Amino acid sequence: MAERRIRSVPFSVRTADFVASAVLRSGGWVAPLVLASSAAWLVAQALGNGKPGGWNRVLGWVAGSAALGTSGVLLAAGPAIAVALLSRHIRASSIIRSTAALPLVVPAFVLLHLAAPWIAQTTGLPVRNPAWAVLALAWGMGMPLWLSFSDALDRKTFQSWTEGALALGAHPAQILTNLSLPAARPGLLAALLRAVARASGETMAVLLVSGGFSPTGGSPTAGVALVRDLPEAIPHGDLWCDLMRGALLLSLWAMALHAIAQRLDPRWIDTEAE
Amino acid sequence: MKFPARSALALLVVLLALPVLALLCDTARLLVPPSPRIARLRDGSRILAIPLPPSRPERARGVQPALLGDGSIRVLEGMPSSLSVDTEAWLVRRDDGPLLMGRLSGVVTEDGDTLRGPSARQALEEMPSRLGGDRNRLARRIPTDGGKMRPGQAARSLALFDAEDRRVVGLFSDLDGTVRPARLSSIRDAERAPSGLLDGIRQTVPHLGRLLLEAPDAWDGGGLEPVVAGTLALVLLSGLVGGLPALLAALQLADRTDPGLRTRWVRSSSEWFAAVPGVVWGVIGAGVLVGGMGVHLDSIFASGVRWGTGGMLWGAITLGALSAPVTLARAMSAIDRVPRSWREIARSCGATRWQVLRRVILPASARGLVGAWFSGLARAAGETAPLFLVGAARAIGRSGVGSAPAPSLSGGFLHLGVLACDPPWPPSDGELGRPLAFLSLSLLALLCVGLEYAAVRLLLRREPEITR
Repeated sequence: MAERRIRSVPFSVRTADFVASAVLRSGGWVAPLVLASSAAWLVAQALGNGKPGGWNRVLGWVAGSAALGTSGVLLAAGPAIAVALLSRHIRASSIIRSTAALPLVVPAFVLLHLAAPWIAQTTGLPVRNPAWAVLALAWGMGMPLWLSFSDALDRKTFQSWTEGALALGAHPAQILTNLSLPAARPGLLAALLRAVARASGETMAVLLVSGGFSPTGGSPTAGVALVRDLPEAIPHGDLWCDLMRGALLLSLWAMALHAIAQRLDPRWIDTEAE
Repeated sequence: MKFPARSALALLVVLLALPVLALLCDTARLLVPPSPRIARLRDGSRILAIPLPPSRPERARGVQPALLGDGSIRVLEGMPSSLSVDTEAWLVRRDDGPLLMGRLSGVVTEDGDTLRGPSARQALEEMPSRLGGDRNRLARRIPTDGGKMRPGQAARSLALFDAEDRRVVGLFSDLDGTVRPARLSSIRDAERAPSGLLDGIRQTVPHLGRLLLEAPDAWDGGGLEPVVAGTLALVLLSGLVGGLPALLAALQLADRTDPGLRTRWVRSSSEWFAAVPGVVWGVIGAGVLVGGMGVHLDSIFASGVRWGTGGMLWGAITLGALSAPVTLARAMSAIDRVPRSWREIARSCGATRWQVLRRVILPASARGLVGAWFSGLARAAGETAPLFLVGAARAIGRSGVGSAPAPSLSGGFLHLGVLACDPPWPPSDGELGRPLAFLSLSLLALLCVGLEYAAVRLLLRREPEITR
């Protein structure tokens, strides 16, 4: 029956169907293949030659990235959750939503050129300082965190629940602590993890405000080490292999955080399934 | 109860948005062209100078760096006791030398006459464009045989013109009596300190135009035209090489009426790949594209084009790869909004895959797909770190005008983010490049926010009902 139906389709339509399917199939495979082969290349480079002892340095870089990213995000989380709770009933406009795409290098640049000289003059601290990196990341992550927290609170707290609780005589503070926050907890946690992943991978902001050096003398993060040292590294030498390991570990760290966040609260939701 | 909450909210939002506001305000402040000032030194002498912000050691020593009338930057011993704007002094930008400051004392014409007063001012404002036009017309005739004038004759005329042109100069005098000549045809623009707010606005608009439409220049910083063009070309190219395959992949998966294991796996992995930091994609681009394919291409084709040193094509592919997962995930999300039953009904009515795609999926998810593409562009536009590894030019030439890299797929390219993070001007000229660094970062921020705004508007908008 189905075969007869297909045969009744005009030749031109069948040809168009064949061509479109071929284009889609070939084009559609490009993106996944490129991504998969890139990952395979990085794994091969990282696990190739190089001294086994280099892992200590690599772990130091990645730990620096993780520590810096986590500190910055935790510093921003307080104001962000406060704004999200205050603005529960206000829907963020598109222009405010679009500021989440602002590169983190913007707050770092503003901090370095406008605030840091003044702070350095009053406190005597150096203008380029790794401590500013935490501040810059916190400042830059504030807006994306607020938007993510707002979305989590908005999506997970149903209006009928709040109305029901109010009808039963609950205080707004009780609704907040017993209803809104527990319901939105997975979403809030997922937003926090995604923010830590983004802040850990940030390179230019850290490089700009820290000058590329940590208090111990090495690179403060894996990203800074990659940008600073890779152009001088001899391909397949010890430093090259360590940098590849750093890139791989940094990617795995960010991907693991996103995988956990995805388990807690999928970001791109199938609305039909909802 | 609502008022304090809203006020606190507004305060916190302003605090979070402060980086952008501070950047834009400071950029606007720096866009006002610098004005020559009368610096009265402690020894009683007066000079024309533009004071520059002193560094910490300079402040401790009590000295003041300043841009002087001959375009040099010097440290003045002792802070000037007073600084007032000299509304009679001109700031002159030239093609063949650094900035020049001074009061216009006269203009020497071709006949050897010296114009003074209003006629000198009129000549200064009118002559450069006329002389420059004459010179360009003569220069254009030299390599062609088709013109009325033979090449040799044109070359002789140009030499004669240049000899006469050297005599047409503007004379600018400093407050200490020093007179500095400037060849009139080499003057790119000359402006006086604004005498009021309206005059200031009138001067700032062409200054902004100059910053946006001219090439970077070693003498006075120049403009950002090739940097803006390079950034836009790079972002669009990354959208073509990364965004389009991602959209095709999303459509290919949408073709299936039942979301199987493969679709779920692609959805999960696209978010994981979207999490990979940009600098890691830069490493992959540097290793695979620049160090691998580029060097290989150079060894095969012995042409003048160099692929092994990085370039715009490798940068675009790197940015395309890092933005593809974002585009893919959002495109799949947009396609998911089309009810699956529509596809099933269309297939059961005998529609082919292409017909289902063209008549059902594409019309219903077109806005979302374009939004997903814009979203990928916004991600690509905001990345700076990977470009340092795949051949972004980190310096403009220091030898004169037009030394920015020519736009090409294989050569070094200029990018707004790279220029802001690693300004090519040496520290002594930092003050000249400072407005450009601020302006380039502001433009980059506006580009990212603008692209994301378009994406958000398109992704949040309801799709129209299908009528056919």
